[in-house]
Amino acid sequence: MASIGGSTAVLNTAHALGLVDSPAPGKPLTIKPASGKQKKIVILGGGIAGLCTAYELERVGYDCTILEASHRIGGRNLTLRHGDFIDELGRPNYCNFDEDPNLYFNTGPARIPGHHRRLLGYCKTLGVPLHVRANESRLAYCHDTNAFGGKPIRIGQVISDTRGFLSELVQKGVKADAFDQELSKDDQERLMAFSKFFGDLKDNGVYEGTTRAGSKTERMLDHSTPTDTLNFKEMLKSNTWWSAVFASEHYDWAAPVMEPIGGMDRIVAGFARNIKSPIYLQSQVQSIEVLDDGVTVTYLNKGKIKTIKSDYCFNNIPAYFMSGIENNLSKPYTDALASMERGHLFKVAFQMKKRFWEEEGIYGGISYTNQNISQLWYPSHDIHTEKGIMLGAYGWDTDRALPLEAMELDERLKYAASQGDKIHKNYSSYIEAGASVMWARMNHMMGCSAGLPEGREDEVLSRLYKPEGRHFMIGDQVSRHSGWQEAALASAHNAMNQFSHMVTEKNA
Amino acid sequence: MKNSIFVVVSIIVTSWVSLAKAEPFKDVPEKYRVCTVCHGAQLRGNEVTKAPTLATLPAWYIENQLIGFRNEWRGKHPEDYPGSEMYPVAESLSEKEISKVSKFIEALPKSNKHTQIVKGDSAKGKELYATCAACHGADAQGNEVLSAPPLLVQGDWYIKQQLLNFKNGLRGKVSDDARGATMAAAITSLNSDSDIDDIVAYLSTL
Ligand SMILES: Cc1cc2nc3c(=O)[nH]c(=O)nc-3n(C[C@H](O)[C@H](O)[C@H](O)COP(=O)(O)OP(=O)(O)OC[C@H]3O[C@@H](n4cnc5c(N)ncnc54)[C@H](O)[C@@H]3O)c2cc1C
Ligand code: HEC
Ligand code: HEC
Repeated sequence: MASIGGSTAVLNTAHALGLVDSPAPGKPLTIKPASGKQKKIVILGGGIAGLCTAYELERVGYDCTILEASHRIGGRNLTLRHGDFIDELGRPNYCNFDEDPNLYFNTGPARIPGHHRRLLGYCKTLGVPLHVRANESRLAYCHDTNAFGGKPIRIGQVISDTRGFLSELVQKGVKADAFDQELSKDDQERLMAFSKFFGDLKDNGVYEGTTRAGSKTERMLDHSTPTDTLNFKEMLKSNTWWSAVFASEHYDWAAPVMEPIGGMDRIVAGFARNIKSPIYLQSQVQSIEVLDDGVTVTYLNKGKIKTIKSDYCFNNIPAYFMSGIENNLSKPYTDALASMERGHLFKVAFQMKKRFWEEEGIYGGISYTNQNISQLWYPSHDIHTEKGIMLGAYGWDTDRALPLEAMELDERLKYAASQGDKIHKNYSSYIEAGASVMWARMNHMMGCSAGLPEGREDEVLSRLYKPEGRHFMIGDQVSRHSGWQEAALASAHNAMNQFSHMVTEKNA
Repeated sequence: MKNSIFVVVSIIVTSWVSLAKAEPFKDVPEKYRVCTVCHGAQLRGNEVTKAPTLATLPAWYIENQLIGFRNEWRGKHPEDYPGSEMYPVAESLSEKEISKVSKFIEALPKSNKHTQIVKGDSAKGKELYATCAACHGADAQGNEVLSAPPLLVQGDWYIKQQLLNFKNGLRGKVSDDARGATMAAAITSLNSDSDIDDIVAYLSTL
């Protein structure tokens, strides 16, 4: 065996023969303390996954070095404040918010649900205080230029009417014996009672509006009067209301979500405070050579090509860059990396001189619109202070992103402002400053995440979940849940579990 | 046996091919490091970010193109996404910087990276290339006097993309872009997209 494959083959024969199962993904992190001479680890990229890897491996005695291409660590975990550099390719600029720690913009991650246990665990151990952010406000708006005459509708109204209309249909169905196959007469009676309650229907099973969505009259001193219902057929013409009614249904948006007090990058700072390993900034990897006895990496720093030799390598670089980085990884492995697609999420934020949304009863939460800006987010923190940063755009659709990506910076802000005007009266007049982050245009990122190619997910992941020799790929890109920091951590844990297993085998 | 994805078995790597670098890496001034983000290490190209190999293109052609982007001859057509990513980068360079970076790229070690993605009939491509040779040269080494670039380094996927761009009016259609217009006129000798594949396949054999 050794003659065919050298030492790597010997090391891995037991695995290949299926004699030993490596740890399965999702297992709790268990790394054996470092022993023996092979202790040098190089980590390429200082995103959440890279930082987590350094943090964990140095704790068990490994000697780690992080190479980070950007002027900062954190990757997509980027919070902007007064004076911060915004490294957009070809359009570098600075954040012009007032100098105030409460005026910040989470340009990437902004919410953490309670079941992201790995991330919340790190927040606790790293000393990153959190508070609740409202992911939903019933008083925020649903807006569609093609429905309801383009008038913004309160989300509470949309939800109540949706329930009312659907409940009415259920009642009609029962009356027309549509459910006789599925439900007994008793069950149908119970369903009638529930749907009446669920939709707030009249005794005759008709929906005529509900005071759950507010009242046309003064509610404290007078009788409440249901607001007029929307037109159901008109609603069906739009699908923006789908988002509005879905806001808290998604498991990752399950209320309440958390955010670090003072900005999402407090997590990055928490890792940095607790990592002793050297972090080299502005050190952009140029080549990766995996050998039997180690990994050689070259990088560009201050104009010079430098070389670092290590025993193992954890690679956090967005996969689509790998075709531009010289390497000797196998064809199937590099094909898997090259298949990853760039995503186009984008955000725009404005500093508003007045928290006008609070005067409309909105405290946190999100408004949805069919315009390219897609969403408006209102801050949950520092309620009733003078100014606030609100998200003036957060889009997911590539089609909505491309026109904004092509715009010059000022044009982009004006465009986002004019779409905001359609939702809030005098919106533009409150704007004092603004910043935009188009993730596909950001230096060293060029995408909101590396996405798995449709239809090839299993194939690509089954390749990248495994190391190639001493090279481990990490980051949310190596998961089924890219777009979440929890996935970046899960992938790092998975890689470290395998690494620990590999090293134990080798030393045995 | 468990689901194959979840049984993590290290692979056997029979032997590691060492990185055969024809030329060692050259230092890159910090100012130009940004070019390597898209165009790859030593500007040897990245077909995933759709940024072509620049190493060994002549300075005069690089300069022409950077000026072309700045003049909005390239990169402003709404369907030209890769061009739209290059556009703001070129726009941010001064004329002096353009001249300097072009000389720097020309002096980089010759790229030996040959990505062969496009498939076509190279014999047919050879015949079709006869009309191109008048400007780009029989060996496709380019002709400075005619402003026609070499077609051997950029990457076959990129050559194909540019030919489609000329054909579909994404390049060479802005008035004032005389060089682009020359090429856009020349492309009319090709009748179909498969002609393009054939020519590109032929160029890969050179
Ligand atoms: C708009 C948006 C909203 C999001 N919302 C949420 C949310 O609400 N909650 C949540 O948990 N997550 C959210 N995410 C996802 C979250 O940001 C990511 O999952 C996480 O930050 C990814 O971390 P990572 O370690 O995979 O790597 P990345 O952050 O991608 O880090 C990669 C690093 O590699 C570096 N690099 C690149 N090239 C090189 C090179 N050649 N050499 C050296 N280094 C290099 C980069 O500079 C970067 O630092 C959001 C993301 C975006 C974009
Ligand atoms: C954001 C990514 C990106 C960056 C950064 C970038 N480029 Fe480009 N560049 C591209 C893309 C994509 C193309 C191909 C455009 C097309 O398809 O028309 C390109 C094309 C070019 C071309 C034309 C090549 C040809 O054969 O016609 C030149 C020259 C060039 N770039 C030079 C540079 C230089 C010099 C820098 C650094 C100052 C740079 N680029 C930085 C993405 C980039
Ligand atoms: C009359 C002269 C002429 C002929 C004939 C001609 N070209 Fe060109 N070609 C040019 C010029 C000039 C340019 C540079 C355009 C510019 O500066 O934007 C060019 C550019 C190109 C490019 C873009 C290269 C790059 O790096 O972006 C390709 C590809 C190309 N030509 C291929 C061909 C092919 C294939 C043919 C034959 C079908 C052909 N040309 C025929 C003059 C010509």
